[in-house]
Amino acid sequence: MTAPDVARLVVALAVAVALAVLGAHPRVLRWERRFGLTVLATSGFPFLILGLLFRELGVLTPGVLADLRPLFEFGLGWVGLTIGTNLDLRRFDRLPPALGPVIALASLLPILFAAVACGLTLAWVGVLPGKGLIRDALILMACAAVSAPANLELLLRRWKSSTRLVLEVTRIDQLAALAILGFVAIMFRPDRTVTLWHLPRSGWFLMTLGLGALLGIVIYFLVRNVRDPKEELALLMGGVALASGMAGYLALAVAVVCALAGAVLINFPMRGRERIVGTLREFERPLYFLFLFVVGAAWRPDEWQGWLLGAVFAVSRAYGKIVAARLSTWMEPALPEWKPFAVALLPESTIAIVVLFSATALDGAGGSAQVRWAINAVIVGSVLTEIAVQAFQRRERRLAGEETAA
Amino acid sequence: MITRALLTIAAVVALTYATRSFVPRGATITGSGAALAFGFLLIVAVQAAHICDRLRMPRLTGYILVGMLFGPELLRIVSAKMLPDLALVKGTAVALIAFLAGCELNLRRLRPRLRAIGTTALLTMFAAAVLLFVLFFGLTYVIPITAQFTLLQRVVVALIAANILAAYSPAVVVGILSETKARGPLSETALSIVVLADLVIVVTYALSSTLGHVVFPAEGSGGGLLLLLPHIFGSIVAGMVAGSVLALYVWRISARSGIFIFALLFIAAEAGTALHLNPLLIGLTAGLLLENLTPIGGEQLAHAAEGVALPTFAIFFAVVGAEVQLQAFLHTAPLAIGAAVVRAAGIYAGARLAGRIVGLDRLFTTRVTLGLLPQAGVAIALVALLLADFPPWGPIVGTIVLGTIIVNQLIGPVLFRNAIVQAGEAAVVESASLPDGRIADEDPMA
Repeated sequence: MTAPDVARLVVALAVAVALAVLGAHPRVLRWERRFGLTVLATSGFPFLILGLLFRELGVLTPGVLADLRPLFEFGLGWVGLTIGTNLDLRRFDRLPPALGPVIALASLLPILFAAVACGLTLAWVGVLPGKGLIRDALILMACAAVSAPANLELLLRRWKSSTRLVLEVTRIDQLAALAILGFVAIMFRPDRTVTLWHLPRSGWFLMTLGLGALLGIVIYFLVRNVRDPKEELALLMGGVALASGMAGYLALAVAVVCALAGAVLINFPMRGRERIVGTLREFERPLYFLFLFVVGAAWRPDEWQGWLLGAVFAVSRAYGKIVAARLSTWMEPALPEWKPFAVALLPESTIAIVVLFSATALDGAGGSAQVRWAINAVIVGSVLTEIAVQAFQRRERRLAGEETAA
Repeated sequence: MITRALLTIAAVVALTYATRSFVPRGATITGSGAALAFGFLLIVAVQAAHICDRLRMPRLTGYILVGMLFGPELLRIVSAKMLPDLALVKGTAVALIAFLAGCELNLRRLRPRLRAIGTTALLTMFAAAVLLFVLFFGLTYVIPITAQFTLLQRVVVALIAANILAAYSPAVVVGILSETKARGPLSETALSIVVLADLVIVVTYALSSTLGHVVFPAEGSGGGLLLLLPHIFGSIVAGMVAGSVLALYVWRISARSGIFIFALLFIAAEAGTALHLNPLLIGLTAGLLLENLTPIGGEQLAHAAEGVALPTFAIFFAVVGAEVQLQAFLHTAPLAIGAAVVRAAGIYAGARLAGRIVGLDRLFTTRVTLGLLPQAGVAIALVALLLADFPPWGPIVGTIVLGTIIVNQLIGPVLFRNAIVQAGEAAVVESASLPDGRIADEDPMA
């Protein structure tokens, strides 16, 4: 390694640590909560830029990314398991049955709108069927589905009972995104000649479900009677690594298999369930930073196709959420007005980063042109959405001030 | 408990074995293979720890045995191709182990014992090195390739082998103290000696290796003295920077300290490899700085890092076990066992002599000796250098040296843990109460 390389490495690592420190600062977390910002818009964005910078500086080389691949797989597994623990059936059973169609609309319409608009745009820029159109459209569909709740305290201040519904919608659409991701992994299998198992796609579908369920049972048996928190963490790490390693080894979607395992785990009767979920969530945020960092390394802001796709993605996704909100309020009068409801569901969730990261991993360190455009699309889409949400929230804040004064 | 642990191991073995059948024998999948090996080793190592607890054996021995049993030489659940990917954890583990050691060493508290610690460290190393030098010098007449060497060349071969085998293991000592939560004069003394001795070994190996390159000019290209100064001082400076960053983090933020420590040491270990810095020295300096020069105190950070320490130790020692070349060991077992006995005798003689000079209790001296027997990370790393730097004779002598390390690796932790329990310093061992009802020894150095 030459002297300039060493200097670059040291500076780069120092900046990464400094940003990690800032990202974990309680003040940053307070800002996020206060302004209803997403991780993407606050501490996440610097990591994205950092990943881009590190690639330009020659620090994040394909070799370095390949060295870190076990860590990435583990991270995907961890986040997948955490998402899976949201699928606590007891909680869903307590939701009013009439809200089922509302949740389905809010999750599926943005997917549909984004699929049509982004599919047409991709075809227009030359990505045709047989050349990755379907896979890339699916990836963008998964990214379109997920939302992070905005500042619900402000937006839904007159409909407080709807807060839970919005939170449930954001949890369900995470699962919709993972389902699409799992579908991509089943449909686009690696070269059959290098593996010994030759199953039809339906076989891989059953394999995904079965492996997820089995690993959920294994992790449950590992952690159910452990009293020492240190040992619990070690076994949780071991369980996640085993699950992600097995899923990755079989070329299945790591996050999906682990989410299924998480769903099975959370629905078993278990002492200390909250503590396990708490442990999983504690490590989730640093992992998102890591993913953003790597996604940033594959980001190419100089490609116009990405910007075009970003604008189309943001508009179609937002339109899908708005139509879903209007239809929902028409179907269920107990819901808030459509405008605050739609804005509450608008911000992009960090799960989009998991989806993009998985796509980047499927494509290798550099990523194909379409994956790079998809990355740009989600980044541009997130920024545009965040601007719109913040503008709406500012207006709502002013109105709230007037209401208090009156 | 043992039945449950064995059933869990059987289930995890079956799952991993089935998964490995996805690709042809000998092939692996980069990334996923390492994650699979990591998960497998961690789960099985934790189960092995339960079995060891029941059998009153050190958990570290269980971890090492797991690595040996399921590693590339025996059952091959963890293949040779998976092991290099786990090196990512190894470097961090060495830095973390050294960091925890540094956090435990309060120089103000140790001041009354510094003379005893220094004397014991130097005399035990010197005595062991002298006896090992004699043994290996004799062996150079027996080993075909070294039998044709000149006298000076034989001296250098024996010097390098003795130098490596004089190394102790801070990793094992920290691991045993961590699992037994031991506190007391024996724990502190053994830890201080092994840490001090490893610093000396790093320097002396650089010297003896430089001499080796002078005597065997054609072989390899080692570091030598010119690299030694930046290597040591660079590591110390990097450790001071890491310690300062940690102090700042705890002071200003504090949340998720355990993850932050791990992340920082991970970066230190990775950057250290690229910059030819020593992760052991980086971690140790950071720990010492926090414990001795900041108001935060190393104990608080060591406690924060406990959560990540258990999986890190389990993986580190399991990988160490998996890397053991059992076939080569079996060929050289008698020589290796002989060298281990000679080393133990040297350490014991040195400790007794030091005890006499500084006035230590005989029983205490014997127990300290047991803490100096284990070998692991540093010694293995030095063997790797020996194999790489001196190709014609290095691999042959290296195999005997490695065999000796394996013997010390397996027996050392058992003996030291027993000594800790006997001294009454183990806090969490069910069987810590002494069989004859004695209470913990008083500080023989106070």
